[in-house]
Amino acid sequence: MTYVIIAFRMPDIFKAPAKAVPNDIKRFNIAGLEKCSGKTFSSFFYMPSHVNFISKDSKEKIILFLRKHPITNLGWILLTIAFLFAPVILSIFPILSFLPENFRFVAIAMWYMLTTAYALESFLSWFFNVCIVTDERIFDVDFINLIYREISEANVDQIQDITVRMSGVVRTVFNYGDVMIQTASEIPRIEFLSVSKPDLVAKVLRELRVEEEQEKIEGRTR
Amino acid sequence: MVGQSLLFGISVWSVAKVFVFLALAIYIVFALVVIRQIRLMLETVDMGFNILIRFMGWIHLLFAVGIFVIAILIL
Repeated sequence: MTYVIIAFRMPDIFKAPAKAVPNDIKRFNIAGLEKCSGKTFSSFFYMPSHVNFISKDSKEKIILFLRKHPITNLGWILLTIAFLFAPVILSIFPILSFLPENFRFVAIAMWYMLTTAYALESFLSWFFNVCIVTDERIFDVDFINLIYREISEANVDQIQDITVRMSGVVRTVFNYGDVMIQTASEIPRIEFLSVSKPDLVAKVLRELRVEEEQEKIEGRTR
Repeated sequence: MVGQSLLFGISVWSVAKVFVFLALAIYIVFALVVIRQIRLMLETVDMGFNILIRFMGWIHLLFAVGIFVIAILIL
């Protein structure tokens, strides 16, 4: 007996819409954000391509990379300049006159050495104390001293409240301030201190949180 | 000269010299720690700008060693 099997292809009753790949991050439609591509010594980067950090996942995309506003460096720069000229100015007064000539030279060299150390440490502290916002998490990287590093992180969906604090004439003129982020993670509060354009940062964080909630509803979470 | 008095046959400037060398040696150790710190920082956050930052650390160390050598030569 010969059986003939005819296979029918069932018509699609429902076809789910193609899901967006989580890796494709939409660019935020926030005024002024696209201009913030930044250079190496900038304090505000939007979607930087050249930045990487220690606990970044391979699929994670950096949305914001922030440092303290460059004007916050003014204090240590002025102090360094004052330190550099101090030996010249103090040479008017015979403070080191009790020292022999060779000891005087070494004392001044040591002074410049300490000035260099101060300037270098201050620069490194500004350059590497960064705040990072990715599409999944927020990070606050702090180098407290020479050998102490602290990285605070929280998931975007754990953000509960965002407060922008901008007080004082200098902060208002140069548009920088603190962004306080209350989270439901182990670290209850993450602070982005003295960052440029704090309102823009808060807007991005709010949009990210909304997007993350949307992803949760649609089941697109990583 | 003031301060050149001898105490048990040792001049004050000889003692001062030892302290200067000690301070400079400690500073060299500090400069080495800075290099280690820079490495740690670059491992934590990589901004594609590593060479100049590393260079700054090494220049600082070179400066510290230079001052130490000069101090040995002139003191």
